[in-house]
Amino acid sequence: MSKLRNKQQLEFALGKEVRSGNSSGKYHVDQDPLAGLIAFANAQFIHSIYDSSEPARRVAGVVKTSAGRRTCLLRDELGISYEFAEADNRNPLKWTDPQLSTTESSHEKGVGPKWYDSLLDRIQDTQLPAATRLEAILKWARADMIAAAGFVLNELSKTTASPDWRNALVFAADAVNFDSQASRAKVCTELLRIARSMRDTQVQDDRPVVLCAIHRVGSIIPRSRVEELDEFLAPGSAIDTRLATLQTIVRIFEAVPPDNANLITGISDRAATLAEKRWDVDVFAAGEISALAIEGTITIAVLGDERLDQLLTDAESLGKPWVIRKLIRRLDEIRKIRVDRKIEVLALDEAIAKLKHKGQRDASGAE
Amino acid sequence: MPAEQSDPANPQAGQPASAESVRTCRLPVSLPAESEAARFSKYAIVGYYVPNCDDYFVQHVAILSESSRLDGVSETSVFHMGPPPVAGARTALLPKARKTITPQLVGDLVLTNDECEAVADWLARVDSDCVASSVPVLQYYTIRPHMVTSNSEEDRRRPPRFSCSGFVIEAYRDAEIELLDIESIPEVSEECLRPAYEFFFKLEKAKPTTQQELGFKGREDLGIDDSGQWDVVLPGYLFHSTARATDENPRQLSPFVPNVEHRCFPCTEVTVDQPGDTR
Repeated sequence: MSKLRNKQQLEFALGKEVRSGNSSGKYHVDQDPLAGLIAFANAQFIHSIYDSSEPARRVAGVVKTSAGRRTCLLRDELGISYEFAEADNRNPLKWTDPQLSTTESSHEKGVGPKWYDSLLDRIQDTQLPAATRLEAILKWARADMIAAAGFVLNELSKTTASPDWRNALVFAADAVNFDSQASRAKVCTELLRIARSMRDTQVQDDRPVVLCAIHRVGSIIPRSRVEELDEFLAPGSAIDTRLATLQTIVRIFEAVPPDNANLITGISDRAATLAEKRWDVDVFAAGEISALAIEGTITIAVLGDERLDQLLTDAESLGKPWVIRKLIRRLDEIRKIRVDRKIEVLALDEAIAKLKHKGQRDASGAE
Repeated sequence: MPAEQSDPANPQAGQPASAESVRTCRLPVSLPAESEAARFSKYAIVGYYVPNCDDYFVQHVAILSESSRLDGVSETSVFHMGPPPVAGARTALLPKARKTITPQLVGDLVLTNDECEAVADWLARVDSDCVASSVPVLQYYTIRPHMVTSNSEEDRRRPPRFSCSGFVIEAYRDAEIELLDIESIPEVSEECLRPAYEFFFKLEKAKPTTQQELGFKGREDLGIDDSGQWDVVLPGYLFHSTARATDENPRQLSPFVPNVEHRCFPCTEVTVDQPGDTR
């Protein structure tokens, strides 16, 4: 492990480790929790601080110099701040014991350099356009991901946000990382609430907000809560809402099937019905409808649902070779992911074999 | 809100989508733009050159969103990796989305209806996938490899990033058309890449605020590591791939194995502008 030697070379890797820019070595803070970082005046950083009770608690920090004396302000993901003061400027690695700061909010002003405060001003200025505030959040996230993510979650929880600000927060939630499972669960709850309230919107510019919320939820929702996506597959939901929801369910379960498929029958029933209808020769069309049919079928495949065989038969009956080839390719992708994880793939093998057999029959028939 | 509409099965599946002929050429073609000969097929591959370059170094590649007449000077609607991606109505709403380009060359394989449907299906999925309008444009983009995916905090796949070539390669791959042998892409130096990627090299020296606005996180984030030689899929390779096809033999092609010279189309220095230089 190498020490950090050059402030300019630092890249802050969202807490897990601090990496030197020349990629020659990785610095893990478990050896020396602060010394490697606080040696750099005016540095800002995010890294893990290790203690016995919470071994991977993330901390964001700012080191600043004032009148030749450096202080290091740390904020953890719970919003608690600690302030260290340099004890002896001839020996910068010696620091006083941390004092719990009175600053409870992780986004309170006065804790960082001027540009940082100006950023916080913009984010909190409700008179500014939402897009300007969103841009400021993204900039903040690059400097202090944990604090920015905490702010986004906090704002998402407010049900009184204006439509523009609400939309900006959905996009912000897609751009920041939420470190703890607890915060991810809360973000899901809020994004689902927003997506639900906007599900039937006729405002064209709002459609991407709904889809973005669904995709983001799918990327972090606990598997045990996946049934909460059910309503976005229901009749009445826009076709793009349903497509995004199916895509997201596939990604949740493609690597590992559900532990108990009986607990997600709402999802699987909806996906099966959706696909079945789109495979109808009078309904099927290339584009969103074909994408729905294929994603619905792949959803049934990743869930390990027995209705896959019938859906493949429906797909075959369309007589479109590209559909069969695409299904084979998608199923094969999932098969490879699961084989790598040593997960049983017998049902996928059977499905692929069935489709290939159909393809061969068509080819020989054509001859 | 998009409406779900039924569309009867197309009785012409497997047949050419239009009467255009298979061809790969620089634009303008020798015939007037109003003529049918200047019309190219839906999802034909189009591109433009590095400006003010001594050769025909192709800088960008896209696919036509509709059958279009092309004259080499007019803008036309495309699907492509701008960045950001434009794959349909929703991605067209992304900030900084470029919905049109001015094609200077075209590779038209005259996709069958079957192939067009497969591409339409792929585009619909990408259009649904890439909708986060706060993502800085370069976070949709990669230079190398031609497509990459990252995982979320819960280790789930997130939407892929494409290069402009990667966008076209993957759209055609979904229609079972393998334009390039991806395992045989030649390595090129920075000097060779620079004309087409000048923008990215300049970004390295840009103000941090500019870098941040665009989502530039350094070369490595775009796949350009310290090795000094990179197997970048250059847009020109795609036109050399399509140039092998003929009306008589439109698809019986193995994936094209390019060499570095194929970054230009044609592989000759610019001497005199040659309208109608078809291949």
